[in-house]
Amino acid sequence: MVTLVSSDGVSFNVDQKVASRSALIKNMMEDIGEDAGEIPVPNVSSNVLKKVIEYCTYHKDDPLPQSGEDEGTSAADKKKSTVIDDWDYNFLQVDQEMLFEIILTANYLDIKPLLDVGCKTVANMIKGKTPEEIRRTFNIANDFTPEEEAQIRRENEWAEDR
Amino acid sequence: MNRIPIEIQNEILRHCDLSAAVSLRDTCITWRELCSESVLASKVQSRVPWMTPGEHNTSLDSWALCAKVVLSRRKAIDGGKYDHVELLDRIPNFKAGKVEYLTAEEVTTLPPGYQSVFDSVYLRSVADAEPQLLALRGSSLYINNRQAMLDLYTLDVKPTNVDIANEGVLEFEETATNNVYECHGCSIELPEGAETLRFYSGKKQMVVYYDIELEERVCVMDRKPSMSYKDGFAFVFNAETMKVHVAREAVFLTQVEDPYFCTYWLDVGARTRVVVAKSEFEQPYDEWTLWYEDVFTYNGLLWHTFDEHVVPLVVDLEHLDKTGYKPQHIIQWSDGGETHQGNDGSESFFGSKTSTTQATDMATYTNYRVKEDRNYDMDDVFFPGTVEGHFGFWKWSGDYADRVINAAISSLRE
Repeated sequence: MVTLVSSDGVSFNVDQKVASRSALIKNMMEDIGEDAGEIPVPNVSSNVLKKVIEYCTYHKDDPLPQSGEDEGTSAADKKKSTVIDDWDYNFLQVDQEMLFEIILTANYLDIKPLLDVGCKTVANMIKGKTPEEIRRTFNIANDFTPEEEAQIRRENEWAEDR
Repeated sequence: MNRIPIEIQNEILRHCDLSAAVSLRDTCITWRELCSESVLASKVQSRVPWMTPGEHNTSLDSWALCAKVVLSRRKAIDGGKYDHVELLDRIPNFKAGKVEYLTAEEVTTLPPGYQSVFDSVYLRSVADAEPQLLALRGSSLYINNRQAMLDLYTLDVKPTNVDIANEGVLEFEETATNNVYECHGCSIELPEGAETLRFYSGKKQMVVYYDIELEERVCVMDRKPSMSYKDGFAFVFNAETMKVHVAREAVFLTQVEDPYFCTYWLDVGARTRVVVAKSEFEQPYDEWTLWYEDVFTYNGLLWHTFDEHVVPLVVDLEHLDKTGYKPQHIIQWSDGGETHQGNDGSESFFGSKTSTTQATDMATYTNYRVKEDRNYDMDDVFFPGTVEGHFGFWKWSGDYADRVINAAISSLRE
């Protein structure tokens, strides 16, 4: 067992196998040895860390991605890459703030499959939306100048006529 | 979302499809910069592999514009602006599904039993100072016009008088009656004073070119034992901007209407022409434009190629008898290179760039393409075909092709 401590001081006892889903923690455990004891996870609050541990626990027996392994480039792999597993899909049905926290944590703790599925979820949220709908959904400020806006409009109208 | 680190934003972008990436690009400056040309290039090319900005005066000067055009066509298809005709099920051995990329086997002679997928096709139409015309008919390669014919199994060279550029010109005789000619078992009346005659015949129509009153005209007549230009559909013919295609079932006219070109089905009964295809992108037009432009029939469908680019089209020949028939363009490609008709995720092939080998894929419709197609040496000569029913590509390297072709031409000169 290893104890992970969140930024707000909450301790989580987790199986080493579960903690090893994080490449960062796995490396730390390998460096420190069996008596890893408490591992602080600064910048990750307890509610987010709890969710991430939940993910790692569910996926503890999945084969680990090889380092340097990337998504396949064949059409079949690309198609596959847009599909999200049911459990993961339900797991990521959280509010937007939590979704981005999970993504940031996955990035920080180096949990590639979780980072991937988080980014896919965001990509799916973008899919089918107009720029204005995307701005509203993600609270993005439109910082284009009126000239740039006009340029975008012209591009769009031009493409329509092709 | 804009507060997350740039590497995660890029990661999200990697998972976005083309339409999501294009929409994101129009949200704010940060995303406009992230959705760079190189990002859009890979997303566009995964859907329309032959698209390249800046080609052929299309004004598609950037990948962003290419992307927007791809998406607007998709929208037009979804909105029913383009209709589709179910025809592919008529093609023998048609299989829907992913394109298989095959390695072209480099050979010096074609394997025994090789059968070309085309009845007749031009190969390697690379425009240098002077185009070299290679026409494949069965297992013979015709080199330039009326010059050499090469047996592809043995590389034996024979001189030939076959006029590839004017293939199908028929012999004719003048009869005792003025302006009536005998040709192909029919008698044909032409206007008084018509001269420099050329006769062509399809299964249903006969086409006559003639000069009269200092202009060249073409008359298309429905074939019967006795016919007259008065019952036909005649028009002034300009060889620089027009080309007539006498297909077995119908006659077509391709006409440069700068910057586009259009192909019409000539409806003799109604004495009218019906547009069956228009290049969607503007085409460059020069003296060789129509030289390279070709229409041929395969498996009962009409195919249209131009250079190594553009405009394979499919027209339902069986319905051409109906006056007012409006053929639709049906070739579709989808993400991942699947071939379909009108299904979700598919692209309109019409008007896109293709290569000879991709056109071959269209023509055979068995979803094969040459593996190195996207970056093959343009001088290579590909022979698509079958051996014992198995589809494959055989090729001559550019150097080898040059050696064989030059040797064939010089052996005839000696």
